[in-house]
Parts: sequence; structure tokens; C-alpha cells
Amino acid sequence: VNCAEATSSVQAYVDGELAGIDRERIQRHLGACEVCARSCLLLGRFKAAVRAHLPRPPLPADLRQRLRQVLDGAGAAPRRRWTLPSYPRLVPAAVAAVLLLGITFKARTQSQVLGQAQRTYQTEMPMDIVGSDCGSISSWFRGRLDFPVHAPAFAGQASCKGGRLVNVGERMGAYLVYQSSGGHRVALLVFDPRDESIEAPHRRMVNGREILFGGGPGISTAVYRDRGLGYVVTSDLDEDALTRLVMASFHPAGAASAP
Amino acid sequence: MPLFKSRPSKADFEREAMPHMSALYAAALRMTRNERDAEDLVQDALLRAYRFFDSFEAGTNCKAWLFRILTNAFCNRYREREREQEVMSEAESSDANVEQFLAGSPTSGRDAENALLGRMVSADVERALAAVPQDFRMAVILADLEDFSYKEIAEIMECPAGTVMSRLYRGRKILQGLLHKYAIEQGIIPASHPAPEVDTKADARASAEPVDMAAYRRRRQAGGESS
Repeated sequence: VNCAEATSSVQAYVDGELAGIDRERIQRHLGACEVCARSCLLLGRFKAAVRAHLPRPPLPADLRQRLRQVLDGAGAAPRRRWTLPSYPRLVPAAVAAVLLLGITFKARTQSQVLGQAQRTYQTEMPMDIVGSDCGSISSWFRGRLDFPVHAPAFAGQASCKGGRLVNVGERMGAYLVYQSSGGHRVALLVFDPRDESIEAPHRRMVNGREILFGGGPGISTAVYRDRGLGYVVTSDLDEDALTRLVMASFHPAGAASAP
Repeated sequence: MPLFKSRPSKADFEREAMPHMSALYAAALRMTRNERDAEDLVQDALLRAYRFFDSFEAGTNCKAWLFRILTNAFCNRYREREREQEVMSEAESSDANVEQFLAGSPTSGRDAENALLGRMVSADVERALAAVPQDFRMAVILADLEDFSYKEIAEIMECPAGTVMSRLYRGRKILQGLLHKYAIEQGIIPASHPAPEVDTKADARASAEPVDMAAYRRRRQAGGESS
């Protein structure tokens, strides 16, 4: 180990991140090199000093009480998934069988498009078009994409904020941003799935329509197909609230959408 | 099978999560730099954690899981607001600049560094940490105040471990630089003559004095040197 190599290892060493041969090598160098040994010592002292000067402030009593109240009001069971009321009313045996398969199926993987939707949700890039009128946002995409985009109005549960073009794999897609009535940011990715099947950790049948669910920490994602296009809804809402939102985006049965 | 998996109860959640609330609050306070925002953030994170509790694997690190949710909530809420303020400091803390600005000579900087370490004032450390740009600050909070490992921080901040190391490195360097600056301003350590006007890389290593941020800025503006 020379000094240049040691410099990058000193921090890891001080942080207790080195083990085995790496640790031995840096220790040997520190034993032989006064300069590196000193910077190692100083870093350790600096770290300890910062910590000593920044003790953990106590949790305010009123916050503790507020958290209690929030939990008490949060309902009995976390994330009621697969509860009976969300099943289609009375399903024929065949559908029920498929449904059950869907319910018990738990894929380990999720399609790239879900991960991409989640990352896009978290990075908050600037919009190509900003506005609160879903119609004009939809029409902005006309000519820019080879499929029509209809920004759903989510039946008043969320309002449009803007949109931009995104890459979905090798194709272009539309990324629409909404704000829910509760103040949550909701993003909708519209893309052409062609014939690719979409994988997600959970499936749920809602009124005969399949919705796939995935998610990262603190955010959830719902994927569905509608008239040949793929839709990924990402939000920090929980899965039930997201399901309600997705339901609100479906066209009323039989209603035609203008091209 | 989810249909028959026993659901985690509220009591399970409370047992796992509540002991970490003061750690979450402390970190939230230093991330948001504001008590009110910190309280809202913790409440938000708690509620999200509760809703997503069935995605938490029992027996794994609950504190890291909660911090990941907190960090996520923080980024969703405050990233945009902070972005503008930090453009400046981000630009100034690009690798080359920080290196050049803070390159402390291993021998000549010794007295100043020792003096600084001995005379740091808590209020200054708090103020300096608050001035460190967001991503670097977060890395320092997670590593130095909450004792998370690089791997855990990588998961919490959703970035590679190498990025954790460089953020931590830069975060600590910026923190040191700011503390130097405050100490000089307050006369705690002597403002020895300003850092040399033109410092070749070799000279910078051999001759750096405690660095003054204001002097550094002036020099950058005047000379426009950026190598």
C-alpha cells in the first residue's frame, strides 16, 4: 500500500469498514507511515468530536403524543390487502380460479418499467409542460409520441400538474404528474407495452381488471393495461388508496375515448 | 402465501418501530434544520412505515428500514425546496474544489487542526453541519451520528457504497472547512496569512494553512482558476 492508496482506505478503516487482509494492509502502512497515521488519528478524533458535540435531542413530548394519536387513528391492521369486499361480486368458478392464482402468485421480480417509474418519481426532473388542464397536457404529447395520451382526470381525486417525455426502454413514453386532493404527488407513466408481459410482486383483480402492484420504500406502484397501453401509477399513497385512485382513472364501461 | 400469512399487528409495529422514534427525530431535525418540519417528517415517516409494515421482514434491521422511509419522505418533500439554495454550494464543493480548498498539509496544518479539535463549540458544529449540502450532510448524519455502516447507508440513500464513501468524505471535509472558518472568524485559531494566491498541486499539499472560505471565494472570483 502506498500513501495514495492508503488515503482512500483511511476513512474506511476509521469507520470500521475494513476487515481481513484489507485491514491488515492498512494497519501495516499506518505503522510505517507517519503522515497517514496522523491523518487517521485526526479523522478518528474529528469523528468523535462531532458526535460528542451533537448529542441526540430528546423527542418532544408533544410529538410523542402526536405519534401515538396518529397510530391510534391509523386503523387496526396495516395495509388490508386481498380483503373480500374488493373481489368482484359473484364470480364464475373459472374466474375465481384465475383470481385465486393471481392472489397467491407472488413474483420475486418486477419489470424494469416499474423500477424506472419509481426512480423517475423520486428524482423530480423538470417538466416539459406545466399546467393544471389535463386536456392541454394530453394534447402536448400529440405528434411527440406514436400513441395517443389521455391524462386521466382521476375523477377529481387528483389534479394535473404537468408532464414530460421519458424513455421507457428504447421507446418514448409520457410521464404525467398529479397532485392528489390529500396533497400527495402522484405520477403516471404511459407507455406502449407491445406484447411484453409485466411482472410485479403482487396482483390484484379489481372489478375484473388486473392491477399489478410493486413498490419501493414508502412508495407504491400500480400497473395496468388499458386499451393496449400500459399505465404505471406511482405515489406515496398506500396500496388501498392507490387502488381507489386507479379505479377512478378507468373509463366508465363502454365510454369511448376521443382519439 | 399472502392469504394466510399472519398479519403484523399494531402491537408488533409499536414494539419494533417506536424505540427508534427519537433517533428518527434527531436525524429529521438535522436534515430539515427546523423543528416543525422535523416533527411533520417524523409523523409522515411513521405513518408510511405503519402502512408498509408488512413489507418489513421481521428480524431484519428495523432502524435502517425506518431511516430509509424517513429519507425517502424527506427527499419527496424537501428536495425541490432545497435545490435552488444548494446549487451554489454544490458547485463550490465539486471534488476538485474541495480538495484544493481543504487540502491540508499533513504537517503544517497539525497545530491548527489540533487547536480546532480542542476548541470546537457545539453551537458551531451544529451550524456547520446545517450548512453542509444535503446529500453530504445526510451521509455524515447517518455514519457519524447514527452509526450506520456503508452498506446500510447505501440502502438508506439508495446509492452505491462508493458514492456513500465519497459523500461522507466530502461531507466531513466541508464540515472541517466550515469549522475552521468559524474558528478563525471568532479568533479561536489565528488567521495565519491567507492561503497562497497560486497554489500548484504540490505546493497546496505542502503549504496549506487553515483555509478561509471567504478568501477562497474571493480568490475564485478574482482568478477564475479552477484546476
